Amino acid sequence: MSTRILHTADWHLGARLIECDRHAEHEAFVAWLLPQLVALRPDLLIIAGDIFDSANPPQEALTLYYTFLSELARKVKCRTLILGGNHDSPATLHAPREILRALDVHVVAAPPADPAAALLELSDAVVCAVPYLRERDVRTAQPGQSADLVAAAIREGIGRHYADILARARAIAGDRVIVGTGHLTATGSTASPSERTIHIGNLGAVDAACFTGFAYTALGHIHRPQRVGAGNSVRYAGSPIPLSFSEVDLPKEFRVIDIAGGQLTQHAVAIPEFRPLRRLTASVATLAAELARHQGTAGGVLEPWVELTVTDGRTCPDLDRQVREAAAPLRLRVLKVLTPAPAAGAGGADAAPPPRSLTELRPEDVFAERLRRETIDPASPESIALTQTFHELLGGLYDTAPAIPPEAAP
Amino acid sequence: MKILRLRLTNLNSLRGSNEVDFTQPPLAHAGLFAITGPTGAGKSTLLDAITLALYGRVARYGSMPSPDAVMSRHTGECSAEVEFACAAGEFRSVWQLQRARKKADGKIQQAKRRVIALPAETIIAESIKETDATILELTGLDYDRFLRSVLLAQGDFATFLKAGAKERTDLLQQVTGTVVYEDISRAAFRRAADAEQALATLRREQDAVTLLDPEQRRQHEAHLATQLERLRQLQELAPTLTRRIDEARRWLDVERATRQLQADQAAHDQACQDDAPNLARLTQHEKAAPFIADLTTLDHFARDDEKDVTARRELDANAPQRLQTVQTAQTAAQEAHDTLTRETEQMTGLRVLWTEVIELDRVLATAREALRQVESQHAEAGTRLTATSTAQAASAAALQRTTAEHLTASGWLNQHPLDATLTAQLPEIQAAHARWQAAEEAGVGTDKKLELGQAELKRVEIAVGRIEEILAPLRTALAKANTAVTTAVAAVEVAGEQQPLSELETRRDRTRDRRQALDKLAGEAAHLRKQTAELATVRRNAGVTTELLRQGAAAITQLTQNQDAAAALLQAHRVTLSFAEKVQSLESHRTTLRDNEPCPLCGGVHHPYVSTSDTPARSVAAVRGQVAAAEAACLETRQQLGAAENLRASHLGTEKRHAADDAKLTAEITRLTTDWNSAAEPHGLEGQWQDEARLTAEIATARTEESRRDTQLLAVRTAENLLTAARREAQNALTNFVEQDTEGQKQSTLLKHLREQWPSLEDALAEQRRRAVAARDALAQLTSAYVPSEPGAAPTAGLLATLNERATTYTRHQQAVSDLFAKVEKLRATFDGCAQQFEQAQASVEAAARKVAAAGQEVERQDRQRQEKFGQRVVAEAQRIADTALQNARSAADSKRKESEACRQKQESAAKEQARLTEAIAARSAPRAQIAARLQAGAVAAGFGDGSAIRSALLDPTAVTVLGARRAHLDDRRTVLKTQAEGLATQRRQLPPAAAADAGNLSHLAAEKAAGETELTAVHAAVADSRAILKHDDGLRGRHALVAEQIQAADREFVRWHRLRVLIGSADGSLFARFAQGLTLEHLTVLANRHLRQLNPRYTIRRATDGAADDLELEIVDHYQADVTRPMRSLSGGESFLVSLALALGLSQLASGRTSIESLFIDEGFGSLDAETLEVAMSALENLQAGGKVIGVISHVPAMQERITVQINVTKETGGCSRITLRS
Repeated sequence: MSTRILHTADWHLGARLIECDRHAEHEAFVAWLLPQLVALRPDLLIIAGDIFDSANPPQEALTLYYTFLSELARKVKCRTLILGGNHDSPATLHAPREILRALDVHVVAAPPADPAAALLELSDAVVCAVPYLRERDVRTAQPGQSADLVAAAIREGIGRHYADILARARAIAGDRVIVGTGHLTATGSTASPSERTIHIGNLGAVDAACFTGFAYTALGHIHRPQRVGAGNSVRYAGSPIPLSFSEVDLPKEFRVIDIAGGQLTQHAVAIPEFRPLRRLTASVATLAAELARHQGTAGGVLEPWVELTVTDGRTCPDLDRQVREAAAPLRLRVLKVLTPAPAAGAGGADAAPPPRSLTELRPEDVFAERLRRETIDPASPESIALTQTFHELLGGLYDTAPAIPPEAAP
Repeated sequence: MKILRLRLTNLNSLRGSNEVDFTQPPLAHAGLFAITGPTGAGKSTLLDAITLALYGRVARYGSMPSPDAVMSRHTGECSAEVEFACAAGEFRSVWQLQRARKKADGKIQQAKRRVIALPAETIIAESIKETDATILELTGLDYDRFLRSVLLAQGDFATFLKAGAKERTDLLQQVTGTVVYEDISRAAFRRAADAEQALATLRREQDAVTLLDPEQRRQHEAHLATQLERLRQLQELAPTLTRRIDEARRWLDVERATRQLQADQAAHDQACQDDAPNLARLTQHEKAAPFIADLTTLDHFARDDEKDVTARRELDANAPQRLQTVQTAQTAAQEAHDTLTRETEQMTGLRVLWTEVIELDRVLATAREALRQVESQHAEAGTRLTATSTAQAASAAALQRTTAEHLTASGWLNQHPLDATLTAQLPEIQAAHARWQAAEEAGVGTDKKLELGQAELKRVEIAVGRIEEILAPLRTALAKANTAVTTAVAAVEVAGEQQPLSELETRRDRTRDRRQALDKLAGEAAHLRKQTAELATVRRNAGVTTELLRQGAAAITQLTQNQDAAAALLQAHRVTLSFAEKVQSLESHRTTLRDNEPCPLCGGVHHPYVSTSDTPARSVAAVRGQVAAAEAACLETRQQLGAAENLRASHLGTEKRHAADDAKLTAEITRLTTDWNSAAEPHGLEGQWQDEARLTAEIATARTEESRRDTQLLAVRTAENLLTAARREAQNALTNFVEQDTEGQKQSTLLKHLREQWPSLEDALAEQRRRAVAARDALAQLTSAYVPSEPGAAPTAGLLATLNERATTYTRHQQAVSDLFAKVEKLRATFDGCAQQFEQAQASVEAAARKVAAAGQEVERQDRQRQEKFGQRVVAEAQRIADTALQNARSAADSKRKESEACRQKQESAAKEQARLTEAIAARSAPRAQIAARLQAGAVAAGFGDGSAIRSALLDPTAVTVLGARRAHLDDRRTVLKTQAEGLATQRRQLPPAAAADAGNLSHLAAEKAAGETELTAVHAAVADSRAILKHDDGLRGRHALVAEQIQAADREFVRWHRLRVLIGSADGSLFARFAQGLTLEHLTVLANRHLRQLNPRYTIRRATDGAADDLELEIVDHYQADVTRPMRSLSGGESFLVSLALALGLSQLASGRTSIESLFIDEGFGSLDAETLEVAMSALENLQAGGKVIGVISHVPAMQERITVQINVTKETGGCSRITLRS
């Protein structure tokens, strides 16, 4: 007798990339996943948070979600644990909770009032359901806390939550193993830019030591599949489809965990690419050829989406039109056209000191700026003479009318 | 600036007092909180209260709110208070408004405002003006800046994004204040204008300066040289004369002094002779003086000896009395010491006894405590025994009662043995009962079905009959409608003269077109006639202008000639004037001229103007008058010529305009005529545009034809409408008939079907009745054992209920018996327990009594022992009395010993004094002898004989001083007289020998000197005149050069100010101000872009580059679309919200300047955002909060309420009031 658990996360149903709908990819993924589940016959499917991309998902995303759950109940007959993520609204997920329970689907979108309700008992394991923990779930406000103290309090609260649920699970586990879940950032994980920073200003990164005592911890939130910490027992399943161009090169997978006689083995199942996302780099001269080279094949997977970086794009005034014309006859879609700044000015705008506000500038400074805009060399005699004249003007002005604002004085 | 607390009273829907304390939990620890509540509850009123308190204004109402707009209805006063912290400390700003007498119907009073420093509660501003200034000073924010930086009010949020260039300028002006740049710009403009003006003034000044010509200047210089030579000669002569007069005067002075000196010498010799005897006495005193010291020492010795001998005698007399006093004191001290020793020995004996008694007291106390404990244990045991005994009795009673109940219940069970089996059989009976009931009901159902079938049959038969009746009239109506259609078709044909409607319409349109074309032609013909008339006018005017031009040319020729003549006359007068002026300038020389002697200037020998008349001056004045008149005449002719030329130019312009008009009109008329003719050709009117009557007639004809066609068309249309109506009627009649016919056939079919079904229903009913009887019999068999019944009879209605009741009752009794049995068992166990406890309690009472007796005996024994030793006395008291006695003895001994010691010391010091006096007297005798010997020897040597002679030679000090002074005075006087005699001799030697002669001739010399001085004055005046003329000319030349230099400098000055004006100067000051605002806008985009990068990295805000340099437009760069730029307007709703948020936050930073802003309130409908955008906006706000700001957001969006933990909830209550609650 053994128990099999499937671990996936971060589906982000209803997500969009730039302005494009990902519904087709999600449909393809669900259509692919169902036969996999029939073949693997798991006892429990864990979706560790961010099932939807937003608090109020679009109707077609909801339809896909409910269709998948009913197909699952009909064809696979396994239990399902849906956890709330930072993108999910607890209210939206909880609304159909009772009817889903009839399909053996357990929804935990926020920590339940009765902690025992967060425990799921299987023949070889006890699963602790921990959704994304909001500040109010783990922390009570204290007077005069600084931002750092608040962050520390949040981390401590999360640690306490895990310690507490682990103790409860131990009380009923007997010789069964304990499996943890969660939706958070654990230190030591490598993020991609599409995860939204969570736990208020990205303060709540939790140490992997939190999960000591769990035979396996199924995490969500980070889109790159990976293990956390030294062992292999704390894992992010990653998202099933790349959610931004930055995730193009990441592998996509879900985890299969087998538990027999208190022993635990696991392996990954790779998820195929339903729609190629490509990051291409070309010059104005080569962009047409480069796009043509990467166009999709007829009858293959969904048409590729492209982020195109045109290295010398800043020299070309109608680049946007050129790219559109080049892409029009091809089986692909260009979502983003980037024109990087020349290397010398890389990050120039960010690195340069911010211009001073007018209230911090003296009239002399404003005049110097005026000369600069006239492209008059500041060291030239003309500039010096003009500046002198200007100072003389100021002197006379302030003698007769002391209307100079105090902040403008040096 | 940070908002700490907010209090408001009777503002809008928030009636009564409300307070929000941002420093108390939960608001204090929430960086981000939401102000939530339904629309109209008063969320924004909270923010209104902040601006009211600080600035007396409300953002929503633009400026000063009307009192009715803010005060809650039916109230007489309202107020708002804000406490805030800023760099200067904590303050409270208050705004209050009242109606008269605080009544709801009272007249509105002036609003009051105050600023109060905390915590001292001192009022620092009271008037409205003062308050505004104070708030600005404390926070650095005026109202406008506050609305851009702390409180982003409703509707103001996207102001900046949506604003036009003008409003944007105003906003930037509000935020940053660029007034100073306007001032600078205006000043730069003014300075350049001033420099230009100064330069022009200098040029005019230079033109006004006139200089001497070179010849005139040379003459003045020669005259000056001659006068200077004479001056030198006179100046050399004067000093010689002066010296000679001086020497002669000195000679006379020396003679006078010599005579005076001789008289002084004689007087001095007489005085010396008079004072000789006194001076001899002084000499004798000076010889005796060295012995004064020794004489004085001897006198001192004699005085000291006498004093010491008296003191020694007194001491000797007091000696026996002192000895007696010492002995008495020693005896008293010894007695006191003995007393003390005795007291100390007694004390030692007492201490041993006290120690023993204290130990006994301690032991006794311990024994008494033990006794008390044992007694209380005994009492406790007694109580326990009583309680246990009570419990035992109660337990026994309960046991007895319950056993009796159990017996009763068991008895009931035995009486009803039959019911025991009923429970088991009950389900079977219920099933049988149900089966019987079902069979009965089925029978009844079939019965009802039969009944219904019969009714249905009857209904259908009636329906078929009724439809037959309806069909007959319908058939008649159909025929009638068809006839009407035929009639209407005929009518249409008659009206339309056998022609189709479209043909009629075409004809009508044709007549209308012709009439319209004719109308148009008539209008154009009128226009053409007007144009022709206009052309005639233009040509007439052109003729007039040509004539005027001809006249003007003649006038100009005449004026030119006049001008030339006037110019020639002016020239002639000017020549005359210059000559007359030259003559006048020579006037100064004219008196020196003589006939036949050459003139020093021109060399001529004939001098026509030698007479002293004033003719030249008069002639110059007359000639100047002529020149002026000629100049005026010249100017006048020039002006006339100018006027004539201007007139001519104007006429030429008019002529040209006439020509142009002529050409234009001619072309226009030609074009119009051609157009008209081509338009008129189809109507046979070609070339007849001038014939107005013909055109009018044609139009009248066309109009008549048109109206005839219209009438015909109207008639046909009416007929056609009638036809259409008739056809519709016929169709309806047909439809009705077919409908009813179909329904009739359907009902007939149904009737047939019902009649066929009837027999089978009756069979089914019989079968069901059979089944019901069988089921009833089965039920009766089952129940017979419990309820007697007759075979074949139906079961009674309540049978099943009765049986159920009986079974339930039996089960209940059974349960009760078993419960009672368990209770009896439990009570029995309790009773046993109580008995056991009673025994234990009894044993413990006895043991405690024994312990009490033993402890009592011990106490008695100890008490006895103590009484024997010390009676009832207390040790501490005895000890205190003994200690006091000992202390007294010790202090008495001490004082006696000190007294004895003092007497002894006094005796010793008297003895010592006696010895010292004897010794001093002896010591003085040897030196006295020595001094006496020395005095004697000295007297002999000085020639005085002995010591007493010395004493008599001495004088008193005053006489010595007077005589000394007299001798010194005589000596000094002698020296002075000698020095004077030598000085006079030297002076006489220094004077030349001629001085004696000159002294006799002094008055002659003085007259000679006066004549020289008079001439010198005259020459000096002449030199000064010449110099003045030359100097004046020099001045003019210097001035000329100076002005030239000034012009150069002014020119340089003008150039540099002009350069500055080009860059920043403008008359209205806008040039530099706009530039400064441009910088602000750029700064704002940088700040806003920082936020926008967080909100949506796709876009960047940029200052538009295609406009003018001072254009303050913004645009958006789309980084995902190859950095294409888009206008702000093209953003979608969500995007424009994010950009607005970024701009508003940027503006907030910008407005705050260097003031630190720690509170931010955003009053904006987040409701318009889609979920994703809302999420992004929320994250942005949270990040701001992490940056240390406290942010309040007004919202009724559920997703925000779900996400923001801390909320100020404003809820509506009845009567239009609201309430504030905090939620966390």
